[in-house]
Amino acid sequence: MTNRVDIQREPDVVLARQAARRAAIEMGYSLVDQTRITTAVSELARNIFLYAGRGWMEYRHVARSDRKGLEFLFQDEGPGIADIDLAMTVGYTSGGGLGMGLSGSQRLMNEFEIQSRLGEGTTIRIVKWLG
Amino acid sequence: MEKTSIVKIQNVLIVTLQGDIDDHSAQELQQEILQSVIHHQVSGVVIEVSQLELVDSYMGRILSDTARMIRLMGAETLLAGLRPMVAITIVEMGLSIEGVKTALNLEDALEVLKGGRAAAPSLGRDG
Repeated sequence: MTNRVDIQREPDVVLARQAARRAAIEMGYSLVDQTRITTAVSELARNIFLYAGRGWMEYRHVARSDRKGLEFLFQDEGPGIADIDLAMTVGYTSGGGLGMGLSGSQRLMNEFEIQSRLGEGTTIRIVKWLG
Repeated sequence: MEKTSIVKIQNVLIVTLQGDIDDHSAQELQQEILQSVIHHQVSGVVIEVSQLELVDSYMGRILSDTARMIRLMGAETLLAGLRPMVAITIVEMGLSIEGVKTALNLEDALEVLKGGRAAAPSLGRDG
């Protein structure tokens, strides 16, 4: 299973989080985890719109040993992040945001990974394990 | 967005947020609330959020800013009915929704505004 949501306009952020919630409900996540996943997706989808203008989210089921989970990839071909550590700092923003998007979504998920190259774009991968 | 309602009852504006609100709509709603405060000359605003399934950093900031703007205008705001899941997420993310007083539900919020009951102290450092 792989699904994709293109993010080009602001309402696409809503579509991304609705898709995330549906996927989380289908997999049987608790209400708290559904909310954590949907909130993290909302932050990262918005970041694409704010900082790169356009990009996409892909999500799929993942399994590791006896655990199942949901993985979301956020990809853009925007300007990239010059200093990832700085971008992860609570309260730091380069674009008039609140500076909570990256650090907040990291706290809500089990796995969080950023790859970014200046001038080429950014990929963020997040995973929430079930149970 | 079309499900959001603003109703005036006595001296209080009751704003009910529902559904999935995008950023632009949230900003429009903020202006609409501020206009309504002046138009109806209310002394209190209750923002009822029990139907909100998500408060992320953007919505958190809109709520906090709106409450502070309303206070500047001379009225008081209470956030009522935040869902447990949403409260958990806000705290885990480290969001601080500053300057907003809260109540368990709409009924409690109205009691507080009437002066019959103390609100939960406002969240954050500038409360």
